Amino acid sequence: MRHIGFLVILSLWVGANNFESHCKSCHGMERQLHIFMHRYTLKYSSQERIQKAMFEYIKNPQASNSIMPLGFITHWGVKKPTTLDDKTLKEAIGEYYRLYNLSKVWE
Amino acid sequence: MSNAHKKTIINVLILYLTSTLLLLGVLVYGYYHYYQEQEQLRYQTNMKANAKKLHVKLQEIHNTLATKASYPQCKGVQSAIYDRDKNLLHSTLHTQLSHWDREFFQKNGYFYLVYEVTPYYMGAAFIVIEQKAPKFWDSISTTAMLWVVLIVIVLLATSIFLVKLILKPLRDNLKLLDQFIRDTTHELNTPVATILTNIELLSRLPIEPKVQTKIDRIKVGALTVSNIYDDLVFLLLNHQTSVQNENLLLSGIIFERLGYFDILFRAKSLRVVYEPHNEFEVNMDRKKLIRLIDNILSNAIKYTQVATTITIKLHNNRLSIADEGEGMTQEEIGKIFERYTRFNTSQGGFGLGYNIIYNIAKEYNIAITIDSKVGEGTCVILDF
Repeated sequence: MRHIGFLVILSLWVGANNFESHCKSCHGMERQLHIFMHRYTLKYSSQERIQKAMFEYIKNPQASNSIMPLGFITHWGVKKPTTLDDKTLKEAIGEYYRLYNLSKVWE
Repeated sequence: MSNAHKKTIINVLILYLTSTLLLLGVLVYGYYHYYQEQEQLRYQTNMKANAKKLHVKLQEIHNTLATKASYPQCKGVQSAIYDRDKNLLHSTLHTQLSHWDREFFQKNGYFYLVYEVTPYYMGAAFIVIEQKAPKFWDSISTTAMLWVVLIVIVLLATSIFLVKLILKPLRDNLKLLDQFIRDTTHELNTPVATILTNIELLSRLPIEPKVQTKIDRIKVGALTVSNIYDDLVFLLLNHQTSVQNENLLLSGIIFERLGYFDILFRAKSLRVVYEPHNEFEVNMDRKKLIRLIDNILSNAIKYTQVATTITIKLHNNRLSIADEGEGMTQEEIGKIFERYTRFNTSQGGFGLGYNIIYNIAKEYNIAITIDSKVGEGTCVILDF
């Protein structure tokens, strides 16, 4: 039981670490992170679909799979594909969802 | 009003009321379902409006990018939101739903409306509205029952009136017939009594054998008519003669009745074997006991062959009277106690005898057994 608890804490810490170092370092503004989550939630609704859509976009960013408005894409273009491996990316996305998902809004 | 009339009226009433109540039941059932559907539709519309309101509120919360918000609620209505994969996001429902296959349904006394929405404000793809389902039957049962009671009363009154109206000509005819039989019977009494009295007086005088034979024949005829008269009186008074039960020695009464029928036995050259094994008393009305025994004896005399034997046995509380007549089939035995039933039209009579036997036996709890074989004879057994 003690070992299981330790592994859970370790994985959360690793995920948090991935999110902090690979995502939040550039997208540091809280509001920006909230906007992304709101936009993804508005389009994809469920956790599974949101995380899948994020993963696909970060791996292969296209105007067609972006959740940003067309004007934004036209002006700024899309980001470069990530260099992170799938495991690290999934852990970072998981942590992002855990911290910013909209179910946490309800009091 | 006779029993037959009462029975007819009751039968018609049962038929009329059953069919009408059946029709009413179908109508009430149909109305109930129509009412239920209308009410459900009303609830559905109302719940859909609430779902739309909730969607608008979710949009407002979503657009403010709030990090903390109260879940929007409508008064008296509970709700839940589910994502596209039907995972619960937030709920105030009494019963948590894990799946659904219809837009509107009832479960555990609540109505549920599932409203699918896009875009997915706050992640909600399905808004579920819950509202307490009313008991429709309670709201219409009092009115429906009042209507049913009112209609049944009106139907009952109408049907009684109609049945009486329809049966009036028949009742009048039967009354006329009853009166006719009553008058005829009354008129028969005096001449039959006169004939029998005078025959008794003649028998005391020295008479030539040839004349005696003729007198005997007259006596046989008069006795037969007298017996029919007694049966008719018994039936006309509907067995309601003044009953005077007393302890009667059965062997003595049988002996007396054998004497009464003696001339009839002689007329058919019948041999009578009477075996009273013991003295046995019965508590009965004398007239009714006489009618019981007379009818069995007269049937035995009537249907037995000439120059045969009639055996009467009295053993313990059992009386048996056996003839060597034509006998009856099992089917005929099954119908023998019905009034006006006759299997042999060559003999006289109205088919009343066995019906009278049955009625008297029933009144005094006497068990009757008919043991009969075609071609061998009939034995009537009475267990007192």
